[in-house]
Order: sequence, then structure tokens, then C-alpha cells
Amino acid sequence: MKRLPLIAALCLLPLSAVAGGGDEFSFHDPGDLHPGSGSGAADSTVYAPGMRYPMEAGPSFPNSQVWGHGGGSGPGGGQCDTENYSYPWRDNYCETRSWNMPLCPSGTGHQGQDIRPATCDAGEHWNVASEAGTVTNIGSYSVYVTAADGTRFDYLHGSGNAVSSGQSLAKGERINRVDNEFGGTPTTIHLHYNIKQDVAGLGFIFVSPYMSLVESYRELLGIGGETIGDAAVDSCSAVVGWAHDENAPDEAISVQVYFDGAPGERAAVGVEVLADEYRESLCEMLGSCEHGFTLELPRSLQDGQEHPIKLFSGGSEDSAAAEIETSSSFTCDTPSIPSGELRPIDGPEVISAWGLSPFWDAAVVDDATISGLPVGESFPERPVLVRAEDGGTVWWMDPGSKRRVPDASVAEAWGLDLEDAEVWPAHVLDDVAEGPPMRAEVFLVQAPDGTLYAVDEPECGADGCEPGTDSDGGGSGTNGADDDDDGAEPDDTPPADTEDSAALPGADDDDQGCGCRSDSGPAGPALLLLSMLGLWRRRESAR
Amino acid sequence: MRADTTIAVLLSAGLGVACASADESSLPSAERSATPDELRSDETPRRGVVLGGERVRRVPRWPADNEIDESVIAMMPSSGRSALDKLSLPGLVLRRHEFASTTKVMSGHHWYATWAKHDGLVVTLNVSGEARVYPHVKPFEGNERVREQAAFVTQNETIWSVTWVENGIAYDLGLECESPTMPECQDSAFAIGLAEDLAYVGPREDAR
Repeated sequence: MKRLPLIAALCLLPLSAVAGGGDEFSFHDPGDLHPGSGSGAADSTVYAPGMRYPMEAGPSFPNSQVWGHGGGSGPGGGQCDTENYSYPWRDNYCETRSWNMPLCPSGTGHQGQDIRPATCDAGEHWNVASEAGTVTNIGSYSVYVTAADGTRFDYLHGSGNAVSSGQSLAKGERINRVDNEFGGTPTTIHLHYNIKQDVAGLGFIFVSPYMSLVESYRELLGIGGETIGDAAVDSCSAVVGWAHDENAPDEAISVQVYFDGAPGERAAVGVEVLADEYRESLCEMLGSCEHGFTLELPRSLQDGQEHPIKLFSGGSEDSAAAEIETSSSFTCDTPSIPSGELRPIDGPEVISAWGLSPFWDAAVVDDATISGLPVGESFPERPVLVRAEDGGTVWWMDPGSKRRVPDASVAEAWGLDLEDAEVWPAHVLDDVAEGPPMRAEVFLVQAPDGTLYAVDEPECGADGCEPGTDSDGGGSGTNGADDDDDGAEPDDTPPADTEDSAALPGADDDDQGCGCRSDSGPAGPALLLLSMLGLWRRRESAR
Repeated sequence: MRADTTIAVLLSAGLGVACASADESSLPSAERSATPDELRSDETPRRGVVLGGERVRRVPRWPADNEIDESVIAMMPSSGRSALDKLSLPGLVLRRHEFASTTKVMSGHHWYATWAKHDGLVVTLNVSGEARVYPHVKPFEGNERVREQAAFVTQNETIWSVTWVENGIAYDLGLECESPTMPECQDSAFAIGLAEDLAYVGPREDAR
């Protein structure tokens, strides 16, 4: 849900409690549109962390142009009505429009956020670049700036462009002035602001700018907390630390752990976690105990390289995210790769459909390591779980075979919900060849060109494999890469089954079948057809 | 700095603080720190939320060199032609002469954009080779077909936008009319027609 439980708590207060007479910054929750203006997206995601607020100076007032004073569906009065120029802010992403919008609850809506400047004066207040980037469009009433990471920031209805197409801009550099330009037919005085990103599973689409605006506005106004904390990596297994806000000494706060840079920097990756774990030692030091956190160390950063860590407070209704003074870094060797074969994952759409995370789960290896490992069929485009109509075992339908999902913990590791399993006739399931159980651990491998693979059981080849000779289901064996802690060199020895391979439930069943995956037998086409039917039914029911 | 070194440094700092005062909460914040033992926990490590989405590279599927439309490249301004060789993604550009001849090409590590202007029409193309994975966003196909792919077609303040995935990467074509009343912006047909007519311009295999 929301990135800040603290924000959520404060936003639940009666509006009068946070409005403060309109002089003090406050905002309605994301998705809480003007009454009667449609269904908003209750999306607290900050899609552009670290961005600069798109107007040079505050105050500034994001709210509806159509449902506000002076708007066609508004309560009357003119656009310069003081209520339009007062807090609290109001989200209007997804406000009623007939335009297709995949992230809006209704499937249609307003693509961005309308923002009024400090005063109701056209051509006076500057729009500025939210990130350093390139001006990739100058239209008759639009300017687009594309940042280094490909995110596009759109500025509509401005005048007096100070930039030209192809120009490089620094973060905060002036673009044009807030105005009412709209191709000859004036609109109200405002900036229509979009953020457009390449989102896995959808493509290059408009995302909600609202919480990115909230965060950057707090930064613009210099509303900061006084947060202290510390962090370090413990034995290459976890990032451990604590964070504490001296203005809210008893509250657990969210903390942002940034690897390889600060918010907005190209290489930086930030992770937010709630610092709410009890630490006896903090009781005495801080006078309050529940401020610790233990964050999993991402596998993708265990690559033999040094990675600095920075800490930031997560921000709140009253304060912007701010760096916590600390200095730490870690260097961890590439983990051993479990034995098995590599199955290519064909693009972000598959990653999204499975809910996979290369950041947490992928070992980053070199080409030599990849070339030393067997490569199999592509990983399925999306997960399909089924169970027989008489209940019992849940199966993952891997094209060509059915594979037992050993238990709920394995399903959870793969982000699967056993309740989602489709019910198939028992005789249809019985006709499908059984492969080895689903692996207990999600282990991905990423090549230097970005190609991603899932490590899985080897497929039965022409030379076959003996029934019952499972390779390790739990990832206890390795492919020999980096066994000896000396980097990511591949082992020349082909993957071998080991005696200590973890036996998963059912692995010794007589009907377990081959230890490796079956290739598509006679049941293959029928299974594929049934899978597609299942997917179709699912997609339809989701609409 | 290796992890154990970090821990050692923090240990020294922590011991110093521990010796300095029995009442830590009265210390200025900058002087407060924790020893590794204080940082460590028996808690199961958690996964936090990756801020701004998890960036995942799209691996392009390159069309064959013989699909490159040399006639379109020849129409482009020299600056645009030279920019094509620097693309790290399969390049599509507008085929029609009036747009091809004014096309400007801009690029970054995992993206490129083109911009062309003619007779009151501005056409943009944004192309991305790096997607963001958000756990709350599940795959969803657009209900239009463009270039034999599922596509989203939408309008933003009368600016048309056509979005699809092709060659393994994400494309987005935009059409803005100088005046919203111009016929090209009255419906999606003109924008979709431009997208359908995009030409592949490389770069060639030996240039990438």
C-alpha cells in the first residue's frame, strides 16, 4: 500500500484538522478526487523519487480545473477564486475523461495533474525541469523533458519557452511560464503535468504524478524532520540498522535505504522499509525501543563490487525525506548458482506477470558463467496453477508437464496464491506428464546484456534421465559458479546430482516421473490449449 | 570497504560512544551511534518496497538488416542520420517525407526519441529499452491493434498517443495539432496511421 503509514494515519484525520485555514501545506489522499469527478487511483507510489517540484517557487496548488471554481463542472465563481489557491491539494489524475488510461480504476481518465501557480497571473511563474534531461518535444502548447532513465515529464499550457528541442537541461532549469495556452483556445491558468514511464506489462504510459509532487513539494518548501540513524551490512546477509525521528520520538518511521547513490541519481536504487523492530540497545540510547530494521541484502548487489549505502528518512505529512548522516558500504561475493538449467525470461512483461524481482533474486554474472550453464526453454509467460476437481495437489502447469507445488511456502516464494488455482477435470490432469516439483527458491541469473534467466530443473534430453534422479529442488546443489568464493568463474564440471539434494515432499513417489522436466509429449498441445483457455477465462474475469 | 571492515569501524565508534556517556539520549544526535551488536537482530530480513519501481532492461529483438528502409534514411536530415548509428535500440522513424525530412533524433542509454514538425502537426516518438516493474501493476493489454501488436490509444489534452511493445521494446507515438480543431486530431485514425507506417532504420548489426 502506501509508502508511508505515517502519512496514511495523518490523512485519515478530519480535513479541518489538516487544512489549517489554507496557509499550511496539506493534501487529500491520492485518489481522493473532487466529489463527483470520478474514481481516482488510490496509488501512493512515488513514481519519480528525488524529482524536483516542477514550479520554481511555492506556494502552488494542484487541484481540479474542471470541478473547481471557474471550471465547467465547478461550483461557480471564477478561476481566481481564493479556494482554488488554497490548501489542501486535490489529486485529479484519473478525473473523469473519456480517454483510455490503463492505471485508472475505470480504465479511462485524466492523464496528469493540474497545478495552479502561486497567484492567478498568466505568464508569470516559471516551470522548471523536474530532472536533468533532454527536451524531446516542443509543441504548440507542450514541452517534454526526458530524463536519463527514460522517464518523460510533460509540461502543458505554458508560454514563453526558454528551451528548444534537443537541448540538455539541468534539474531545476527554467522551461517556460505557467499560462493558459491551448492551441488558440485558452484554458485556465495552470500547468498540466504528466509523468510518463515504461511500465512492465503495459508499455510507455502515464503514471500518477501526485505523490511525486507531494514529496518534491515538501523538499521545495524545506519542510524537514530531524532524523538520526545508522546502518551496516551484517555478514552479507542483511542490512541492519535503525532510524529515529526526534520530533516523533515514540513513532516507528519508514526509512529509505539507498544503494549506489542518492534519490534521482541514475545508478541509485532505493528501498523503503519500516523501522519498527524492537532493539533493547535502542531503549537506553534513544529512550524508545522500536526503531530497528533488518533488510534482506539484494542478491543483485552481491557481485564482488563495492556498494555504498545512504539512509534517508521516509518523510511524512509534515516533513520531507531527508538524508540521515551515516556512511557505510559493503562488498559481497556473487552467490553460488544452484544446479539446473537456465530458462530465459522473455522480457519485463513476463517478470511482471510472475511478480519476479531481479533486484532481490538475480545473481549478476558474466558471459563466461552464462556460457558454462545449460540453457533450456523459455520460462512460461505467466503462471498457471490448477488442481483437480476432487481437490488435493496444486500443480503449476509448465508447458509439457504438471509440476507439484509442494506447499504454501513455495507458492509464496513465487508470489503465487494457491487459492487462484483453476479447477480441471481429474482425467485431464491425469493425462499430463508429471515433472519435478516446483523449486522452493526463486533464483534468477542476469547476463551482462540484461537477459534474465530462471534457474530450473533440466529438461529431459534425447539421452534421457532416469526417473527419480531429481536435481536439487531446493537449490542446495550448485552449478559450480563461485563455489570457492573466488568470483564468478564457471566450473567445467557439468551439473551433477548430489546426495544432499533436498528432497521435496513427494519426490520419492512412484509416480513422480522424471527428475528433469518432460519435453512436450502427446499431452502437450492439449495442455497448451487448456492453459490458454484458463488464461482467457482469467483475463475475462479480471475485466 | 568490505562488510566486516564496516562493522569494525562501527564497533570502534560504538565503543567510544558507550564509554563516553551513560545517558545516550542526552547526546547530540550526531554523536549517537550504535555498535554492530546493537544493529544486529534475530529478525528475519524483510524486503522493502523498491522506490520508483524496479528497473528492468528490455532485451531488443532486432529486425534483419535487409528490413532497413534506406529510402527513409536518405530523406532524413544529416544530423538525424548520424544519430541513428548511435541508437542502442531498434530504430523506427516516420516514413512520410514531410516528417522524415524534419526528424530530429535524441537518445540516452536505454531510450531514444524523435521529433518532427510539419504544417501545424508535431509528431513525437518515445522509445524505451528499460521498463519499471511495480508489484501493484499487472500486465494488461491495450484493446487496439497497431503494427500487429496490442496497443493503448489515448488522448491527453487533445494530444493523441499510441503505445505498444514491438521488437521487445516499448514505443509511444504522439501527435499534437497546433489547433485542437485540426482534422488530423479529430480522431485517432491519423495518429494510428502514422504508427502503422513507421519505417525500420537500423542501426545495422555491424554498427551496434
